[in-house]
Amino acid sequence: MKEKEINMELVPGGWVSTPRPAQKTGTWRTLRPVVDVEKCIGCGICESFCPETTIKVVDGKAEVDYEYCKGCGVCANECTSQAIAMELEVEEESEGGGY
Amino acid sequence: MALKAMTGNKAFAHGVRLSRVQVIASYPITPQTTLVEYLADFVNDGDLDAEYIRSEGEHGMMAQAIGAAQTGARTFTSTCSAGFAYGFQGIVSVPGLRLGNLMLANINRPLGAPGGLQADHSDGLTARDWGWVYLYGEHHQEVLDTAIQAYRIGEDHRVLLPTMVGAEGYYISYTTDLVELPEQEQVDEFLPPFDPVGVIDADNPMSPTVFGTTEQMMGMKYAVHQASLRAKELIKEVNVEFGETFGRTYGNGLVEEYKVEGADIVLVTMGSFTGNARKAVDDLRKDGKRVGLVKIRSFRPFPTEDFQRIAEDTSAFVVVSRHDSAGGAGAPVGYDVKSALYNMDERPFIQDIVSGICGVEISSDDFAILAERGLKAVEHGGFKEDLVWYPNMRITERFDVPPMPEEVKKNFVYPGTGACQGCGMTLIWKTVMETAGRDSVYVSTSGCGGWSGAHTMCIGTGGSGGNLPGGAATAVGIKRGLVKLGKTSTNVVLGSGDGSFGDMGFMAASGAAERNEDILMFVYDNQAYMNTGMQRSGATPHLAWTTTTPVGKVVRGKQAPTKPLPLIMAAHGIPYVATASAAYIPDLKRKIKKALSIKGCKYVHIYSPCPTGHRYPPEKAIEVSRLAVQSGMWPLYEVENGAYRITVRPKEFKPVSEYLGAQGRFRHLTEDQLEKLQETTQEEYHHLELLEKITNEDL
Ligand SMILES: Cc1ncc(C[n+]2csc(CCOP(=O)(O)OP(=O)(O)O)c2C)c(N)n1
Ligand code: SF4
Ligand code: SF4
Ligand code: SF4
Repeated sequence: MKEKEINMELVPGGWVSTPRPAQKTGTWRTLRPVVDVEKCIGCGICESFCPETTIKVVDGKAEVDYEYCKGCGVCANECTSQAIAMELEVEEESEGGGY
Repeated sequence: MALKAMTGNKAFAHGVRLSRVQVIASYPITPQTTLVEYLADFVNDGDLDAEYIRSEGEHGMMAQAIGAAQTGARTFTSTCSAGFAYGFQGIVSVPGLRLGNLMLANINRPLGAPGGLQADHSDGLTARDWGWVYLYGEHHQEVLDTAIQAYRIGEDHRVLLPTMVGAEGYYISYTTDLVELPEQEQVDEFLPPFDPVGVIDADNPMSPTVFGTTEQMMGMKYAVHQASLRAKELIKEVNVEFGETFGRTYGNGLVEEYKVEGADIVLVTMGSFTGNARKAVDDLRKDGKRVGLVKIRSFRPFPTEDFQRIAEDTSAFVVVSRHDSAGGAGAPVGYDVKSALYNMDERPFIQDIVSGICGVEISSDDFAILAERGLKAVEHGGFKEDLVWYPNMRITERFDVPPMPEEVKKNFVYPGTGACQGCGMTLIWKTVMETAGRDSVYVSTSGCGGWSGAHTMCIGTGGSGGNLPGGAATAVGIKRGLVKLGKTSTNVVLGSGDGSFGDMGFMAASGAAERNEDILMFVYDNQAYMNTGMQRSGATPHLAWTTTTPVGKVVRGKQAPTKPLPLIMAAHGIPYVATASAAYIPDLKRKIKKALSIKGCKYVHIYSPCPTGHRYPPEKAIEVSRLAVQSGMWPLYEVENGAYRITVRPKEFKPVSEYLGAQGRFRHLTEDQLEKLQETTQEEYHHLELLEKITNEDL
């Protein structure tokens, strides 16, 4: 039997200065938003409604941060150009960390 | 009798139901929440004939419980952690009022900062000294049985003290075990109706007096002390009788001894981890090591005599406290054990162990390690240290906080929050804080916002976490501190849930408004206590399903109307009030910008879609929010210096059924109810238009 130990350095009161993302929420996804760059007009609707700040218009086209995108589908539902498809997540493609 | 699988909270709820409780005062807090939800189910299904009070906070909840108990009704309430502290004014009064017909379920959880949700005894132990009969249950069956016994003990005229039944969060509350449900007839026979000494009753006017001469008050305190001591006999008696009726007893009622005979050292535990200690004893006994265990079932009254008896034949006690007493001479449970034994001629060695704090697991191996240490101490003539923490603590403190890197400062909200898919709250944070800019700090409150890590993890401006009733007050304190330090330009932004802000936090919010404190308060209104699992709040819409307003066989959905928070805030006469929606981002941005350009108290009330609690797929979040505005159920307006202005006016109103029909929480509505809601929505919109007209006219 091994004695247990809690060994760590702490700041009194737990002060931190850097936002620390709680988790790589990309692993939550079952559906992944895929942007059709042909259809995307770069309007930014998706960006303004994404609850996670994980879709952004870069150089006129929407780009998804798959590390954190939770796959809610709000962007696809709101895009008036039907430029985003929600596709079933395939394990290999997941960039959210996995196990 | 058949065994049924159920969670600890459900077992407790059955105990309450079988005790024919007449009034329930409830307020949700994890991990107690499902207990009051099950009770709401029983009531709404007609299985329990009780008045069910959906309180606005634990301070009120305790006062409601006291009031109800003073009428003579058998009363139940429950809480833990922060709720325990918030209800403390009431909690400390109940014993002196001798309300033996009041039971409080304490589903134990850490109290204070640092907090947490897991098991810990710091909440209940703070109420040690007031006269509560405090019984701990180790497992589901014991919790259920103790709930029934509690009223028998408390209501007996020899005692007349309230009872608290402790059951650890998660280990008991949310795990599932097999439980034998007693028959109602048997319980009725075991637990007769309460026979009160005095009651509040217009036909026979009387009142309790707890203020008197100093001598009278000291006398009343002494009476409580004596009653508590008398409860020992009663707890034992009830334990025996319970065994005769239901075939189960728990030690002698006060303590449960396990292999204590011939033990060199005895572990002392309380609560669910006793099971692990018992296994450790079995393992060590197999190796020929003479170890025993005492489980404290009744912490108050304390089983002094039992400890003195056991102490005669043992060399050492290792007493585990799941709470600390910082700077003290021992630990909370050990204090009592030591006091009980000090005047004996020969006393065993005693070591206090502080363990399992904030939910840290104490396994059977850990108990075995602690017991082995005890055996060694006996060999060596005593413990080296009177008090130790376990696991072994190697903590160093550092006093520098590296500053936020410049590149990180670009963002205002970071992804990776714990919020559900499609949650509108994070979108609202982003929009508000981006608009507020760098010279801002954020105050969150407990709720989805606080727990998903608003101020520490995701909102890149820094800030603080206010408690549930004190969000606005925390913001005020920060603002005043900053002003005093010359940082007058910094925006202090409170982002609160509707429940926190509008129910128990409303006193602080209203105070800030009345004093016109220079802060911006916004509510992300997901229309319920979502974080604790979708319980109704004041802002929950009329008729909506929530877990405390279930759609039952008899009562269906929230019966009370929706609390009109923006109108109430506007009535304070503060310079700026607005409503907004996550579906109307430019409108929201404009309002935040305007609000922050004004000095004084500002309030923005923002519709926040919650796919989880409103019951629809996450991708619909914005679509449904838009329907709320388009149907007139969520009007977008602002009130600037008293003048109302509707900022987004739908050209054509959609029927409310389109908005309501999109959400599972309104699925049960009848045609008639929908029609009525359509009418009231139009009426309310019309009132708003009238307000707009009146407040902008030169009179
Ligand atoms: C004094 C106190 N009582 C109860 C709780 C438990 N509690 C934590 S979050 C929460 C719900 C808050 O609801 P709301 O403010 O609407 O925010 P939401 O969870 O919906 O985001 C409750 C009741 C608490 N933290 N403090
Ligand atoms: S909403 Fe659609 S069209 Fe507009 S930027 Fe996003 S993906 Fe492109
Ligand atoms: S699926 Fe949801 S989280 Fe992912 S980019 Fe779209 S809106 Fe953002
Ligand atoms: S329960 Fe609702 S408000 Fe809370 S995080 Fe989930 S979606 Fe957001």
